Amino acid sequence: MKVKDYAADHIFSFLSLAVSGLLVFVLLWLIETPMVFILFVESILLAAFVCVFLYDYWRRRNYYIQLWKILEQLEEKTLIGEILVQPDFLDGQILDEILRRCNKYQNDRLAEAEQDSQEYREYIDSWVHEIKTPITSARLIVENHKNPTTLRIDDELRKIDGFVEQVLYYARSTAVEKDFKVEKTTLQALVNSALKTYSKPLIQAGGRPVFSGLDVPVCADTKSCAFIIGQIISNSIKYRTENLQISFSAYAEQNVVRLVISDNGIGISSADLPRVFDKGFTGDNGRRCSKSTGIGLYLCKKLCGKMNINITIQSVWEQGTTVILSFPRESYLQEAGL
Amino acid sequence: MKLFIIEDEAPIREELAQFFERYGFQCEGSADFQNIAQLALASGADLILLDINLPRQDGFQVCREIRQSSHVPIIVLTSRNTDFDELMSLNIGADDFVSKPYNAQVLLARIQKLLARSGETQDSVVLTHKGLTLNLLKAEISYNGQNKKLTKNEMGILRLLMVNKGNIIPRDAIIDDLWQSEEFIDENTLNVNIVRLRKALAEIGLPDYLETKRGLGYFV
Repeated sequence: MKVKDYAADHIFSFLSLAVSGLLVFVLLWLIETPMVFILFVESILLAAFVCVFLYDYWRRRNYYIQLWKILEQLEEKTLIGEILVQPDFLDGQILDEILRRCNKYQNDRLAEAEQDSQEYREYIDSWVHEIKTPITSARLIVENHKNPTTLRIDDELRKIDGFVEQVLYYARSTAVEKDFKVEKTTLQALVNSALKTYSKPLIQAGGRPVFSGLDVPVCADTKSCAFIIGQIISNSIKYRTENLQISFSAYAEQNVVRLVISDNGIGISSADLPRVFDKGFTGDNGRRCSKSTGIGLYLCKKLCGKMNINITIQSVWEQGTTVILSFPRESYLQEAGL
Repeated sequence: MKLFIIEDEAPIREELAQFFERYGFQCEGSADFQNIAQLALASGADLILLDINLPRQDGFQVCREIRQSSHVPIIVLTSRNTDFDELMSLNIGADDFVSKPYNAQVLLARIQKLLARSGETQDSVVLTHKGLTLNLLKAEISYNGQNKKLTKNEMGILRLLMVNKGNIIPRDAIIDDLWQSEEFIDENTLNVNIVRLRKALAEIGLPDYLETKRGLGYFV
């Protein structure tokens, strides 16, 4: 609260005080009061006004400075109503009461919404596990009765399973807690596991994976990493040209191990490239390919962020796309105390 | 070799039994979940497959009950694939943990590995069809007293066709099956392997054993 702002706010009071001072002066002058006496009265009036305004300004200033300070230090801003000290001036008290009530309402609504979203997440979680039972039994039936027809049904079942997995990881990516199980594995094991999941569409696209130097140990959550690599493979299949080629190579550097996944697909235009990790972004390729959802890479980015993996993407339009996953090295993690 | 399947979904129980019976296992199961642990122990099974979500009592309890009186290998099969469940299962004495939807072949491989480790040698991993015998442990085919060794890929192809005897198996399904055992082959490699397999079969006197259904796939 600046003096200037305070004065501007009280301009009407100042004006009326000035006018009344002037009127008193004129009145006293008209009844021929000696000048010394008039000035004396005027200075009493002035002193009273100055005192009133100074006291009022000081009170408010102290209170609001304190309020701002608390607000800035407070992490949960909506809790400000709870920890306010009641001011000793009337309009402040009224505002304080309003703020308290608003905050209480707001906090109740927040808690309600959080509860709702938590319950919804739990429901999704249990639904995913429910749906896995019929998928499993359907796939076992196919396993026992393999022929061209049932195998085509199996392809569809795998797609369903893929979508269900995506739901599971979406729910997991919004959860506050990090429930990852980091264990020692190799890049080859992670890639193999993802390739097995997407084997059928890859084979049908005529693709064959090429590996180079993947025998590198990393510490990672196997399931989540396999899911991420699976999403990248699935994109390579979706946005392929003739003769799909997909290569996996690894480079060990001082602090990170990089997994480089390249394909020879349709690529991503440079205009779209910075936004591919945005939720729901499908861009130019999305308009050409109806299967784009804008969820896959968004989930990858989110999960990677939670697991301290850096994900970057490079692409040359109509030449191919390269996704690089940088896993922190074990020794680096130890040094960082993680 | 006998497996006891503790699973409340009847279709899964039946299909698993049907699948394992093809590979020479005897299978048993029950819908009486009140006394399921005693039933499993009484069956004299060599290995128990256990679901976690069961009516009346959960799989952890069943596992504990079995462990009180037996060291029979237990594999937990479940759709609750959280780390907590996995840790819990292994802590109370299960030997392995597989989450749904599992690949039946992977499950089979894990069972065989577990049985081998617990000293139970499986003597019956042979498939027989139209007089031809395929020994899965030795990777060997025999017919009329003649034997021939096969490579890993050749055996994989023949095993898939013999397990699904009489059914046409498309080429992509064969490649997929080999990918599941981490042999990432392409169409050309499959052609080469089919030719080699036919040659091996011809050498022991079965030149037309593996048949081609044009445009669809292969069958035996």
